[in-house]
Amino acid sequence: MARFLLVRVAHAVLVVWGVATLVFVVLHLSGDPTLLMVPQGSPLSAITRLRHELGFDQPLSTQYARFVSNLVRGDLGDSLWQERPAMSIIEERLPATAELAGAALAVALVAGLGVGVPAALWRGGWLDRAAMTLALLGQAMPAFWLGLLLIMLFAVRLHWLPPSGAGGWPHLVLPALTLGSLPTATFARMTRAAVLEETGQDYVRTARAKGASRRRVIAAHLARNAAIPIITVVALEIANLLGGAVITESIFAWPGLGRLVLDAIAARDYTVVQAAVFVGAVVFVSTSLVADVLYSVADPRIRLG
Amino acid sequence: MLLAVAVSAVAAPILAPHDPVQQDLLRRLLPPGTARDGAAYLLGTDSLGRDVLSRIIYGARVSLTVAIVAVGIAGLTGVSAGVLSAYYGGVVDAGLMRLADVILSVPFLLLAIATVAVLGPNFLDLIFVLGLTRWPRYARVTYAQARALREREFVQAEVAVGAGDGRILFRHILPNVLSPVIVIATLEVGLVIIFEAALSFLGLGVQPPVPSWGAMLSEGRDYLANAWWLATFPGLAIMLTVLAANLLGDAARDALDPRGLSGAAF
Repeated sequence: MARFLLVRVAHAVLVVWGVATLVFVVLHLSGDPTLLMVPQGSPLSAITRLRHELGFDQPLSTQYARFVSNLVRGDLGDSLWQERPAMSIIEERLPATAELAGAALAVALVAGLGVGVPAALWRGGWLDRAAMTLALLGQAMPAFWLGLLLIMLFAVRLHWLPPSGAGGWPHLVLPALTLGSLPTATFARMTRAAVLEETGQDYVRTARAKGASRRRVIAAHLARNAAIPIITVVALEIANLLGGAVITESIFAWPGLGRLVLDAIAARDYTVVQAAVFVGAVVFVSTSLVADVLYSVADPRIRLG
Repeated sequence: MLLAVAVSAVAAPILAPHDPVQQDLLRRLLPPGTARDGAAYLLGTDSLGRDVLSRIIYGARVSLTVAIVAVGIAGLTGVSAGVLSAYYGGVVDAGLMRLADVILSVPFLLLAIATVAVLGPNFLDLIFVLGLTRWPRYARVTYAQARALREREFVQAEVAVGAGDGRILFRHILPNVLSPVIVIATLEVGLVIIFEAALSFLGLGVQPPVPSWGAMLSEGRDYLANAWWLATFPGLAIMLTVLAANLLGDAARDALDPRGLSGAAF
């Protein structure tokens, strides 16, 4: 078990380093990052000075070495726009996004699993067909469109919920529903498929033949085995949640990391953009790692083999 | 449905009742179904007097072009990477597959936004970004398939007979890895349409005055209270198109990949 974990952690570290390199490459894709960061029509002297200050006039290899060594120490650079470390800006905004993503994930898990499992168990029934149709629509629908529709209906027409901003839980409802719509659909379909796959297995038939009640079969056997693909999908959806948060936060004026990225782009503060992308990737890699650990708990074959 | 979208994209200049770009400030924000002076505005007009229906029809061009080209690029790159890695193994394998892992580790929209921010929101770059950031998905699948194929007898036989690498790759391995790829590609078309719309919605995609469904939604955002049709119809267009693409993908999966080798998400 320990060996398995060690291998996974080492792999994760390697991937994080790869992401850092990728982020570095992307920033330099346009040739001279300094030009990205200055307003149009700046005098050449100012550009040259800034380039020297930021170290962009050094050879790439030197820049890269500095970048990595800073990163290891947790220094993601300084924001040009707000004149403080990018890391502290991100730390301020991360909780809001975490709250939104967490709420969306909760909604998606409850709704998705809550619908997917019964759909599989009563396959072909009205719940199954209704749920799968809704899931299909949900996967086709752009989340930001749903957000706009929800605002139109609940905020503008009915005045039941606030259209934007953060505050108490009423402010959380619409954004969470919007962000969670796609994951719900995916979870519903995935859960249904996973449960169906298990119900067809021999061990289920054997258990029933031995006289186990339906409930026991589900709780003791199906759950553990169906959990594996479900965990995979959940981990993958976290990445989508982080990306989708950008749009949802934009629509609902939610003060999180996603909106920070957009504001930073508008302010030409690429240090912050770079930092945010990196943090997003790190969060995703960490959740994948956690997912792997959960696998090994659910499926002993993985931890021993 | 997909056919309808494709047709309208191609035949846009003939089908669209109005010029999608021409502004007519006297006719701003007309609700759907208005007819004036002999011109009918089936889906209403937007804040600059442009006919919504025409813009939606022209928008189909943008969405489909971007989606198909981007998927093409991603598919070509991904399949090549996957097959070559699987076949040659060693450094190529390690390098390309690790790169794929890294790209897959960044939440896609974040990566796309950051890259577009650096490169600037022009059409060509948009397609490249959407294409070059999605190749790992194809690569992973083709890699697994190609690895399995490499060990099978008919390939070993070819090697024993002395067939060149190119021949083996093209005539034997490639055709057999294509089925899951086709499934993924159809599903990806839908996804890319949504991503392009998302980027345009954020102002980072197709630039005005070119009509893009995502950008139209963004405009509609400002008029939620008084011009509901601006936000409703473009979104509907997106949803129906993506639905059609997804259904096509499901059908493709049933036909080509019933064992789920493509690992395409449900």
